[in-house]
Amino acid sequence: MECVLNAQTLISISLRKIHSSRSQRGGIRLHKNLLVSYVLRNARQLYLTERAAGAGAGAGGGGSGSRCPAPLHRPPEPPFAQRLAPAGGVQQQPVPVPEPEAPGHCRQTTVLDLDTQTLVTTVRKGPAPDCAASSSAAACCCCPGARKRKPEAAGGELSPAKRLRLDEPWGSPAWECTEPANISNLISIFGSGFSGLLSRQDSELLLPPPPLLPPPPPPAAHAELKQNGQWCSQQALAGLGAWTRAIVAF
Amino acid sequence: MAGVGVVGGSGGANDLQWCFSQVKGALDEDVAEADIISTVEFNYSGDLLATGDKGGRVVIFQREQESKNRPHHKGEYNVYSTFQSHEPEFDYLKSLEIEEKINKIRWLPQQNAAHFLLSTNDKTIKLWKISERDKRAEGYNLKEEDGRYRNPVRITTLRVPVLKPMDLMVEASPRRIFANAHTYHINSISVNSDNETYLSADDLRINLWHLEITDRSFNIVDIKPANMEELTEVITAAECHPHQCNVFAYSSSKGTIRLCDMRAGALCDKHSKFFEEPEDPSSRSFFSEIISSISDVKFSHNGRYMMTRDYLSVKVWDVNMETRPLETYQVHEYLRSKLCSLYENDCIFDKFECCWNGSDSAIMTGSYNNFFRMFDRNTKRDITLEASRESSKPRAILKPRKVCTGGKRRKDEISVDSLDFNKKILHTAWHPKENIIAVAATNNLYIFQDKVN
Repeated sequence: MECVLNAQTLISISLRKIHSSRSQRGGIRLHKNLLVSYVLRNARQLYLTERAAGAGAGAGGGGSGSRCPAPLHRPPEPPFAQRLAPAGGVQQQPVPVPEPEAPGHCRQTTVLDLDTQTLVTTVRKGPAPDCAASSSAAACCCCPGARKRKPEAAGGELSPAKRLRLDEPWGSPAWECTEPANISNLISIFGSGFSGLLSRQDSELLLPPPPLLPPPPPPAAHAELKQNGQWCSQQALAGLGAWTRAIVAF
Repeated sequence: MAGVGVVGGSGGANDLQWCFSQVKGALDEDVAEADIISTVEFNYSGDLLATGDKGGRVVIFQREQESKNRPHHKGEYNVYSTFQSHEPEFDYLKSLEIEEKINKIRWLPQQNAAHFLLSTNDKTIKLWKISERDKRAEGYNLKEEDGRYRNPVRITTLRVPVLKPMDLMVEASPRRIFANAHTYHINSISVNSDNETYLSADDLRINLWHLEITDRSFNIVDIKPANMEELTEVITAAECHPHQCNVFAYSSSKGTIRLCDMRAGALCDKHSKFFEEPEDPSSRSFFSEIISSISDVKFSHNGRYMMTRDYLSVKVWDVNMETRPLETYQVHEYLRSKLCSLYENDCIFDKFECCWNGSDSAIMTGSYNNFFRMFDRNTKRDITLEASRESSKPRAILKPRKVCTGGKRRKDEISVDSLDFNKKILHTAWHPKENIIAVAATNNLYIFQDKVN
């Protein structure tokens, strides 16, 4: 019954839940996914806090130095997607950072409104809320094409890789996707909200799948689990794209 | 019933003891998913008990009346009617499969010989009429007894058909189908006290229907944000006030309850009352949002109180006091330190229901390991009982159970780590007038009653 309560584990578990909810019978459960996103937010905040504390300690200065998951402060209630945006990672208490001036930056989101069955495109001027705000080497992911950041930049600052300690409920060998590089990949990709998950080429993925098709077969999970290391980031990214599609399609 | 302790326990001449009465359902260890009970509901008189399951079926049990022929079977519930309410469907437009699982059943008050109930899955609500037929007509002029039509040329006399008794047949027929009104998954239905309307609630909207009209409904609550990326909470349960047909309440995933008055406006987005208990900052964890989500809300029979169930506790609210609950009862506080594991195995998302007894003096809710808990609001006593095959001998008195939370485990106690989290009691119902309870344990329905009965 023991479960390792650390941010990375929780993030991995949460992402897996979101990924598997796509193939659940009856469609995506909005309530459950909302609750999972809250855990994701809480874990992410702790992860960033710990990382900042680690960076601060490494630099000999600032940061709280506290590494254990202390009771979280309930941050001001950010909305569903912006919850996933990092909030100025260096500080102890994450606070939203005001958007700096940056000319000519647009974010476009196309969603299928399930109620009216129409495509709705929203265009937002200005950068993503976190873009360029974080000084913790997170790449600006809303820039088209800059989807993958350099893992080694973050890897050097982080604590040694922790392995997942799970009870193997899914019968898979212990997988090492909690390597800090992959987690930071995901963190920074989340950084720009849903739009940050997609490059320009991928934006067409937001369009709904063609109708009249039967539901896609469940992903061949076993085959994918055999890849080590990269599974989490690649599969989760692919899954996230589809999750994005599904969630915003609501 | 008022004044009599409804929660069994040691001491006190007035205390009740709960006895096993019946168990329904297959005995196999291998449980088919379709047989898992997903809702339990007594009707207004308590004579009928309906269950819905994941396979879309409804089974109705009827209480035996007192009879000289079967004196020992008085009060037994036996199968009255079984029918397939919902079938699995596929929404081609959205490439979504729609589960046939019955989410809720609600009875209508009886107005004639037939019984009516509403049953719903994720998307469609149906009104069913359950009627008895115990006579049939014989002696038709144009038909033979076997149904073949007679040659009209040969008919020389006319006769009046006579009604002859026949074996009782219970028929269930769908009288209304209320479809295509919910984009999201329906979680609640509730019949209004005006006996003409009812409400249905999904994650983001609540609709008001007229029982006679299926092609339209009024949307009375809509919490869908303009931009779905800004979603922060969903509706988790809704119920009409038992007496005031203009009032209803709905709970949210953030642990709040809103009371709305339909006289205030066509759209009840602005609540009349807002119930929220301030969060205790010292108990904050990764899972605070999940465990504060309300899974069920029920008005008391007298309409003065509301009860809400979240993951670890049950709260009783005074409808007139919004700032904090009147009473809080811990259901299984020992799980608070296990939340991470419960998150991993998805148990933290289980939606437990709760119910009042007929006099509103006691409340009941389920837990894990086939345990269920009862709280007496007057004596403040609580009891944990178990629905198990082992204690299923006729009229056997249920022994109180206890979970050991630490330190030395006593002989009869069970430790937290030994609890079976696959055996969960999510659905319970209390007879509206007597001390008879129905408890759904996976695919079995247990019926318990007090010793006096």
